[in-house]
Amino acid sequence: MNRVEGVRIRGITACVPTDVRSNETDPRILDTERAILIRTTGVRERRVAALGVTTVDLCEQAAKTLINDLSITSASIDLLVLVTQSADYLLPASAFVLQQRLGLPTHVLAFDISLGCSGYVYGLAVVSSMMKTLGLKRALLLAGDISLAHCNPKDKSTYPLFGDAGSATLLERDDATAAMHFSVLSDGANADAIQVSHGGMRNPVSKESLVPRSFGEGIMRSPMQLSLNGGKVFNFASMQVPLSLRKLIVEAAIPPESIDYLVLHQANNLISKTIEKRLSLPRARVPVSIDRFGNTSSASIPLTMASELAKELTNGSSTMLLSGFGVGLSCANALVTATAMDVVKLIEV
Amino acid sequence: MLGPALSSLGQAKHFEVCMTLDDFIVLVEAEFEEVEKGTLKADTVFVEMKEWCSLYALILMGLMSVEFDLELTGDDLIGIKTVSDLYAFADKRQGISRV
Repeated sequence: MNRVEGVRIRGITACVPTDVRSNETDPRILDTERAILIRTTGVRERRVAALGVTTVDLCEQAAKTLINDLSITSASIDLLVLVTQSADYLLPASAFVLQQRLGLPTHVLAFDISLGCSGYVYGLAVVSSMMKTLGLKRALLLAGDISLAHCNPKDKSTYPLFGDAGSATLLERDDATAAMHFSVLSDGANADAIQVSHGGMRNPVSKESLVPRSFGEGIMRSPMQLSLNGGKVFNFASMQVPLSLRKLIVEAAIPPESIDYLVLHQANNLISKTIEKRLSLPRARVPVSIDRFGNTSSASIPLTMASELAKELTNGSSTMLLSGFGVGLSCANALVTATAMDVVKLIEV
Repeated sequence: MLGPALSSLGQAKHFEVCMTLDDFIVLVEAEFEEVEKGTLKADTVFVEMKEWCSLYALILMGLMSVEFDLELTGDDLIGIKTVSDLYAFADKRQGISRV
């Protein structure tokens, strides 16, 4: 468990495409499975980026809005971290593309983190601890994915679940701010539970990489597309995540009744309900955004804050328990007491 | 300072509570919202239900996790054909039928 003092979240923006896809009318979903799919996943509709729009584009818009609304200068930012698994290029890291597009100074420390659903909280831990250690004043954490680019539209186990989104979070040094507490889980034994197996160095792109195969009724995908073992992910999230959250609360010595919000990665409704029931926090509200935006990977936690908690997070102090979990398999948790943020906003492009 | 609330955080609620097979059937049926009430029996074969799809497997995993602190894997489900089999699975690991 890690504790970082003196770093404050000043603002959060999330950016989604305007194109709405509804699971209530999607002809790819069997009518016999539609009701239970929507009930268990929670996904009624989601946002889909136009062809050619990338994670960098969505995060750029989120970051520009945040910088403008906070009335700060790009030159004042010392650290830029992009969390994504849909970078623009194999190399260079997309953080450098964004450094130029956002007009950040050349002395900015910039890099990507390759993570999905746990990535936002991982990013918070990395950014806040680097700010503290290196004495950096201001940092921009960008998190998002064009997840649907990895999914085969004929794969009912992935395509109806995901949406596209980007986000930006601005962190500043502030010695009066309450400490953030972090914990993580890394379970490489289940690395194949969420995987795109071809396209990297282990399995370079070949003719075979592009050939879709059937893995059961309604499940077609190629090795270049996302495979998801729902059972393994579900058991990791429902058994390991509540225990790691409990451990974090105990080690941080925070009374459970002081937690205002449990903000979970929006993986699916069933997982969220299971974690919520197992944790049984006495008064925490559990905001939901998956019904309108789907599973948006590393953007889901800031997107949920921007879409569901904007008023609450700008009006006063809130203690939030954040938990991201998924690809790796991995999990990252944070206990954050946020004083009134200056900007919490959802934008559409 | 943390109080007794912490002692139960993250723990399953009922796994020390005894449960008959009939009670267990009611518990499972409550999770199967799309299935007509009263139609689930001890010998109902899950995959032969007209409503069955893989999402019901996740519902059963959630039920085992929340109610009995049990991990139900895909491999476990290969051997669990009926509601009665699932009850036996929970009983073997958590002794839910004991009196």
